[in-house]
Amino acid sequence: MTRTLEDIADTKAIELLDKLADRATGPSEYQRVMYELGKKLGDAILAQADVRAPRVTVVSTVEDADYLSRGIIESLTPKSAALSLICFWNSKVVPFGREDDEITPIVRKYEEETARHIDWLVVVKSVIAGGCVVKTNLTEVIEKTTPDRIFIAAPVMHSESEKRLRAEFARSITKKFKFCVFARDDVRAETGELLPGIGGDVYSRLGFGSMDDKNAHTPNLVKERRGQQSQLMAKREQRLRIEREVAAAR
Amino acid sequence: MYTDAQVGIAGLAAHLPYLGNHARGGRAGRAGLDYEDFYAIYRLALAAAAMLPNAPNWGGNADLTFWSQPANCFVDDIVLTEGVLTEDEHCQLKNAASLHWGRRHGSLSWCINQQHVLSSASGRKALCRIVNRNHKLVRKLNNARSTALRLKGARAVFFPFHAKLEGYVRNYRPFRRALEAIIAKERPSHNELVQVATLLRAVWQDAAAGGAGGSVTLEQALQRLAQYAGTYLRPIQGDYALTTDFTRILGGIPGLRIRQYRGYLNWVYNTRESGTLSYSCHSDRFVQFEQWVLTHRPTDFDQLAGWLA
Repeated sequence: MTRTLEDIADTKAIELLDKLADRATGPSEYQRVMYELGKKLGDAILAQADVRAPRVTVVSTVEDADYLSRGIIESLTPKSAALSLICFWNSKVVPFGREDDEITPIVRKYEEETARHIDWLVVVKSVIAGGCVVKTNLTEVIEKTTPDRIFIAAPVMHSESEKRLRAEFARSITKKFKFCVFARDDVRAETGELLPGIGGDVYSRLGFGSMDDKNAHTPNLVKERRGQQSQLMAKREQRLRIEREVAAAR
Repeated sequence: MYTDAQVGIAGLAAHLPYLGNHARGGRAGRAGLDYEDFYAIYRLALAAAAMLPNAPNWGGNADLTFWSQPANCFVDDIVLTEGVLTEDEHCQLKNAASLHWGRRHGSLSWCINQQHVLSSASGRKALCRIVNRNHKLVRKLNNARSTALRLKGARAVFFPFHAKLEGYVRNYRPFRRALEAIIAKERPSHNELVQVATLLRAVWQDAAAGGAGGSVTLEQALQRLAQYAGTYLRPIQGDYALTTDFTRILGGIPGLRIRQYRGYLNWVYNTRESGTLSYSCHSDRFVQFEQWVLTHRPTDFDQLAGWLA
């Protein structure tokens, strides 16, 4: 098996990748490592910045929200004019065991208000092997939002995934792609997992158990932001009410 | 589909070697999808849509069987047979801008004639269809009164060509409309329609994977897909009768709105969160969910959230 490291993979990132691949790393340590890698991916995205204070939307899966995505969001937020989160709960159907026909329908979503036009769309995934989830989630978002730049951020991806993902979208979309990964692996196990990849099945490594278990989970990130969003909405409504009252008094 | 003996009774035994060679050029083992596959998937979608309540031709036949290159047929790319009926639709797919009609052994005209002889001898009627991507050619064939196509009641049918299934979903409206009819989503995204089309592709590919002669009935196809959660295929039973107590309990959760659409439960929480249960209201899993709600009577969204995927 061969792993190719990208230029953005510094000593610290390599050390973190090794911890992911190490099957002795327990769930809580694994979660922390994902968070750290998220922060480093966020920094790597900022290093490629072509606009100051971009408007950003981060697209996360439910399993990545509290770890990898949180790291990326914490890194990007101070430098962004606005940052919104979209979180998807994906199911997975492999009809009759046909891997080529795998679909990953979105069964639940959390969507913060996102402008029709944004600077950066950041699609986050802990590992990209087949690319099916990235394709589903990205397709869903670009039906409603037009980003100038699309970052596909993952610690590790399969060496063929970039080509496969590019083949799924029109040139008008793929020309906006920037893959932000630390390593590309070229070997997949029979189970579909990358080797060394992120050290096996991400659901169990993060401590979720099965797909159903992770889809029954509501990330703390969503709960926190849900609360913040409600407060923002309440403030906005209050401001509008005051403006209306002032206008009426005049 | 036909035995060697039936071919013999029809007086066509001399053509058995031709039929054997014909079948060997099948699609088993071919990489990727071709024009035949896309047409079969499209017809599966149309047939599935016809099975649903309120469909224009509601009562579509669940026994409808899709054959991939059945044995001993002269017109055999895709054959559709329908339960007790004796009329079989034999489709020959020609993905070329022009068509060589011919009269000689093995030509299209010859194959249609032989198929009629064979089907008639077995008490069946062959409805032959030449499926082509060229609108002009299809019109021309259907207007040419003197062709064998006309004489034998055959017909040319237009079906476009796109390199990918996604292209059909985006650009071919009859296909898109059929998918919209069979998905349990009110305003399905392009992505969701492609996913349903992908499931039908799996059904067809699975049937055709056995090589020449593979077949699947519509009922089998729908039943097999219904076993997976997350397919969002509209159940043929229609809507499920939700109990008043169940809807009252969920309706009492602040910020939560629920609605059944085409046999699936949709929900929205405070405008930002939404979803559709991955299983239909007719499934055992839904019965469990319903029981859980009636027993635990949740009053807050987070108590319920674990069930909403």
